Amino acid sequence: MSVSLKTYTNRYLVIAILAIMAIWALLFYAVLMDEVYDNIDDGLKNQKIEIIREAYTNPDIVNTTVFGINQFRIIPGTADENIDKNYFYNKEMYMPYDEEDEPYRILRTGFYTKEGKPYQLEIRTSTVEEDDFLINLAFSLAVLYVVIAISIILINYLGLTKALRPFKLILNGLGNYRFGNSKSFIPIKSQVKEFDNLNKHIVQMIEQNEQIFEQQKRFIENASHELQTPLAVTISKLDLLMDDQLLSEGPLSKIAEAKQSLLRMVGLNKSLLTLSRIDNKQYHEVEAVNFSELIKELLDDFSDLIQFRELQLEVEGEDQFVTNYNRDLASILISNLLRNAIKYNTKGGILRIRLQRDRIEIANSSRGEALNPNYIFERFHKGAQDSQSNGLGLSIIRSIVDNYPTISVSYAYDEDLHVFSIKKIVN
Amino acid sequence: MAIAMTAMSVQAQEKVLTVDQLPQTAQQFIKQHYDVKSVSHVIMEDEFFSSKEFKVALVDGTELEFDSKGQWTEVDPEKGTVPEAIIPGNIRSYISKSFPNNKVEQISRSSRKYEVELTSGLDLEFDRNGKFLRIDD
Repeated sequence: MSVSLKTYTNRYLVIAILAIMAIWALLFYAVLMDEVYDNIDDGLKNQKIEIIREAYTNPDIVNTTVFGINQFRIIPGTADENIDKNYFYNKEMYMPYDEEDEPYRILRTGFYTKEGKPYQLEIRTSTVEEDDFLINLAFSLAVLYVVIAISIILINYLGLTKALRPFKLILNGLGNYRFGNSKSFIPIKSQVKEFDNLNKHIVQMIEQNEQIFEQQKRFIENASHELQTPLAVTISKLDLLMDDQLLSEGPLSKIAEAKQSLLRMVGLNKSLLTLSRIDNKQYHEVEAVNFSELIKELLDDFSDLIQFRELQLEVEGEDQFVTNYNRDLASILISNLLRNAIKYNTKGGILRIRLQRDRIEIANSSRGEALNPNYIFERFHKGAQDSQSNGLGLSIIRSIVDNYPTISVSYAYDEDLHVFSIKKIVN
Repeated sequence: MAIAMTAMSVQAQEKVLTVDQLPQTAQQFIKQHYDVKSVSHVIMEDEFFSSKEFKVALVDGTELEFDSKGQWTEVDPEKGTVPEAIIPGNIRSYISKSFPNNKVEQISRSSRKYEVELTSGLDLEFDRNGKFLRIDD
């Protein structure tokens, strides 16, 4: 599952911070605690020296056997090589001020008197202040830790949001890019070096792609142009061959079949050429075209075919559908639609034309079921296998409408009829 | 392990000597502060990693140590205190000022410092010039 870059980096940041800061905070606390107790211990050691000194000038001090006003006590001890070694420990002792046990730090050591008698010396000091301090320190560190962690996360989130804005714009731009239209990707200048580079590279890539595309278009046009000649030559040679009286039925019909195939190739080639020219915008001259009139003219041309298939022709509406368009393209468009409506009709089927001011409908009954509008405009898609069609008819229509989009062509299956509608685009 | 042990013991030698076999300086020291006749025994130690050491024990239990040149390195009276004359002057004055009524129970020195143990049991450290460094605890 992919997550936003912000979440991604935040994940690592959070873990790193949690770990690093935790370690740092613990170390810091330990160091400080050490320092605090070192200070206390130094104070106790100093008192030890002063007490021992005093014991040598004022021996009575040795009788301080309980912690009283003096925060020390001296009790008889045992002779030892290491009698003067210091031993520190913490202990809770009763404090009259609070009337309860409070924490104390105690130094236990020993010394010999002038006379050589061994004594044990214990010195204590209250660590309430220090303990309080340490508790507050721990709390503050915890708060600091939480605050820093949250701040870093927030800053990271906000910072990345800002930094990624140009990236989002680039993504949007890429979404708007249409192949064949190199101007459809608009690079937005950014202050982030990487995104600027990205833009540059995308523009370069688009230019390269467009160039190749152009080359291919030209190639197709040239190729299909070149194909016309050899096809024409071959067909005429076959015609000559068929004129030869010496041929019998067998070979003659085979030659006729070959000629049919070649004629199909000629038709295919012509369609490819038309498509190429449409894509190259070679039909850009427009004039006011009356589609209603155009349909009626073409219906006339097709009347033989309509009669032959015994189709019921219904022309409804008298409105004039007029728009600015290239006359040739309009002609190709209508005749392709009509040819389809006739070819794919049942014998004795319906051919219904509806003429309105901003809409023309060409509907036909047929053998097959409803077509899939997503596929029918694709090149070479054929429904029920029809070896006579070259699959380019609707594709040419789509190419016309894509390149000159002041009208649209759509398909619907309604009341058992295939309905193709031509509509004006109002913008 | 056994081989290592024998190797070690071969390196560390302990030899019993007579007083005249001590370096002259050491003999001077004993004559000056103690009595040559009160010397119980003399041992010379020669370890692999350190230089020669002389350990002199007196009849009354006092222990003296000398380095290879015969300079004293430690004076440890069993009973009684270290003779005042042995203690460097500024050490003596420091002790009488900061720890009055204390005597020196034991004194030792190296090339870098002096270590002094007082009657009270406190251990003091001085640098080789006799300047007070710290209380050793």
